[in-house]
Amino acid sequence: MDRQFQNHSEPSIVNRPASVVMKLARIGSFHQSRLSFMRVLLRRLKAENWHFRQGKWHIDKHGVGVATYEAIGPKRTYTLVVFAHDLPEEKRSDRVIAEAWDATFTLHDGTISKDDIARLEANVPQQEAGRISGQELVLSRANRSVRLFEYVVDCLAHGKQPNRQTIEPIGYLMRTTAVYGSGKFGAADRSQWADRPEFAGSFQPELLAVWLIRSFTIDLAEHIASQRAPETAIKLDPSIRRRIGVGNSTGLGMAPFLINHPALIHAWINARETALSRVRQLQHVDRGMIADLTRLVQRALLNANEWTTESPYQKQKTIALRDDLTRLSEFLTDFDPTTIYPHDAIYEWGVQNLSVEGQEQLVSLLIEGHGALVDDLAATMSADETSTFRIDGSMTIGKIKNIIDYTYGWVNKIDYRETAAKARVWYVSEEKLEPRLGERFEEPIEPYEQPLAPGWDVVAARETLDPWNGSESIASFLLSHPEHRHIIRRVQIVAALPYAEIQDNTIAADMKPIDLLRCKLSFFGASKFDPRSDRWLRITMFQGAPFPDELAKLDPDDLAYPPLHS
Amino acid sequence: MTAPHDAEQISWSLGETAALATKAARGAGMPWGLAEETGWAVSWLQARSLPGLAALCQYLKCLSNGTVTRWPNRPTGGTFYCPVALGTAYLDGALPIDLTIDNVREPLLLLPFIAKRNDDQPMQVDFSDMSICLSTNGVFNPYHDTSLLINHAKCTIKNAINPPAIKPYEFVSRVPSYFFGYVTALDEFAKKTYAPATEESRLAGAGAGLNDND
Repeated sequence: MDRQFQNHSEPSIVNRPASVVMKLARIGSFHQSRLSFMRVLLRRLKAENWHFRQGKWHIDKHGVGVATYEAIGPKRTYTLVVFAHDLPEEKRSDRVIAEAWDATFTLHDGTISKDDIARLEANVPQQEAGRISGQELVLSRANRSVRLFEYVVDCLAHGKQPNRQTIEPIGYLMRTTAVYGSGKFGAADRSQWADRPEFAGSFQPELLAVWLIRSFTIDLAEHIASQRAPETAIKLDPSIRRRIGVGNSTGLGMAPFLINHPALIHAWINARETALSRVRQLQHVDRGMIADLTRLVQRALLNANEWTTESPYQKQKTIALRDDLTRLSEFLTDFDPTTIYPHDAIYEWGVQNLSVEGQEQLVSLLIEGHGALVDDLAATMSADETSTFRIDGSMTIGKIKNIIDYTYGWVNKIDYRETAAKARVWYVSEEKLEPRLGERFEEPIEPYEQPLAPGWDVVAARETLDPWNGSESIASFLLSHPEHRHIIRRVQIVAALPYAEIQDNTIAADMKPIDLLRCKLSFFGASKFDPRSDRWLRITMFQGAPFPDELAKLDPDDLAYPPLHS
Repeated sequence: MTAPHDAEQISWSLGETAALATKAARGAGMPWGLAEETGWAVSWLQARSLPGLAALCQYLKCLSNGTVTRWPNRPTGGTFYCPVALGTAYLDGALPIDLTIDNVREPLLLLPFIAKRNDDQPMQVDFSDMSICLSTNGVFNPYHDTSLLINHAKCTIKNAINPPAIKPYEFVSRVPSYFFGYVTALDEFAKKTYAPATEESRLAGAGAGLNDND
């Protein structure tokens, strides 16, 4: 964290400290920004002039069959292979325990052969029960939206465009329920493709697959409509089509990710915080920039107005967000654009006047207009976790104690002797090998506990370390206490990477896993969050974004918020 | 049920191999920190065409038979050293660079830790009647995979003086199909980390309750 301003008359603007940022309530209020991975992807695809084409379309009138979509870049081609199925209504479930889906997908490395399609056809529809190979990068599946898919097909078959007001709050025809990559179920390891420039950053193959899946969902709806009524069927109007993204239904499977990838999470959050600092450090901005920001706030309000949720937790946050954005817009209308360090002044006003949800939306909006200043940070948003894996055994016990006492000071506010402080257990269920959250004092699950409570582990390690001589090496401690090896590794990582640790109790009775999911999904670029309980939610991805056939002529960044006049 | 794949086509990514080894080690009773090191070590060996999965499988079977009882194992009369506990202590620097130690289970699992600690300095590792030289860059290993799997042996680690011709590692990115049996056996150990499902946990634990089909 560099201190940029030494002159006393100027504000001292540095990255926000981890003690402020790394709280569940705050990371659970993050919004997508221009550093979000789906936006990074579309900027790159456009800048590099990628081409896209539908390869095969062997889909029958019921919407069953095989289709392929090719993404052709400067050096390599990737192929999305789609298997579309006839799924009986009663089998459609977004839960990870489902065993059949409306469509299943894989992203293949290169163009695809008949033999490969045959191999994949035997495996991809089975998802976790099948195997893909090192030639595949992603495995995914999706279900139709009962609310929207048939409605859109019916409209198109009757020669009518669907009503935008009906589409907007849902925002997708199909909802993915898992997008696996990085070596899962046989897919290529990340190390196999991490050095390809087109995948710099995080989750680029996964999001390329999702973006192509979006095209398939539209093609499928238009295809079924035209098969149903060849005489009258029409295609979607491009401006309506653009308001259809891809849904995603996500549960606890994603939650431990943030805790299990400390170096990566630091990289993500450090990039976002650095972007915020850079913008706040601007001494002067053009008059028009404040007007642009004001319009952007109004567009963000349109987006917030479209959020629908039954979750009481999110409902009150959304109401606050709408109020925040209304007041922010008023504030900006009267804001003097000649103010010195204007973005800093606006940010500071936000801290005083907005909810945490509103403050984090403001962070994304402040960054939005400054691509030239911040977009380079996208390339820093990845991490080689193996480089931080090795424990420095020569570090003294005294130093480890100091790191714990300084970096983990937040644990002093938690009394782990209290039942409520350790009420929860993260465990993996035998049924689908997915992470779940249970009640320590009500279920016999403690023997299966996953190491996802760093605060508690640190307290235990610190207590065991206490009588040890500070001049001894941590290696000798670990020889006697291998049960603390996991947390000592973590302490060393967090000492160097401040945003690597969530400074909150991840097993407290009142902990909301949805905050962990929301954080990760905001970095993906999700624009709408609809928690369905405190443990799973639905989101919309790529709503408003250009389609492959529009990418050359439209600016994806300009489409990240809904248009003001339409 | 039709098999979803042709057995000969199966291969595993190194990432899922490391994850499997970690879970299996944990399932067999290792603390999380050592289980993670196990995952790393097995993946390190497999990436260099050395049979890490097989060695781990053999070792965990010994472990589940109760002949190794504590971590790290300090052998007293007829018990054995855990190669991962020993390897991590070696890597951490808790043990001297030159070392002779009796009764090490599956000493192949020690090799990643020895190479990692000493970087490009070639080290000679003698176990049973074999002698291997290795560094982070390559290895001199004239033995077949199966002969590297040794229930237990006395191990000597020392700087290699006049090492034989060390060849660069043969890096591979996949674990081939003939490891199927070991993967299956390790899956059984990994399962011990999973809580048996109940209807209550299915609903409460994953947070269902609202219709997801809309």
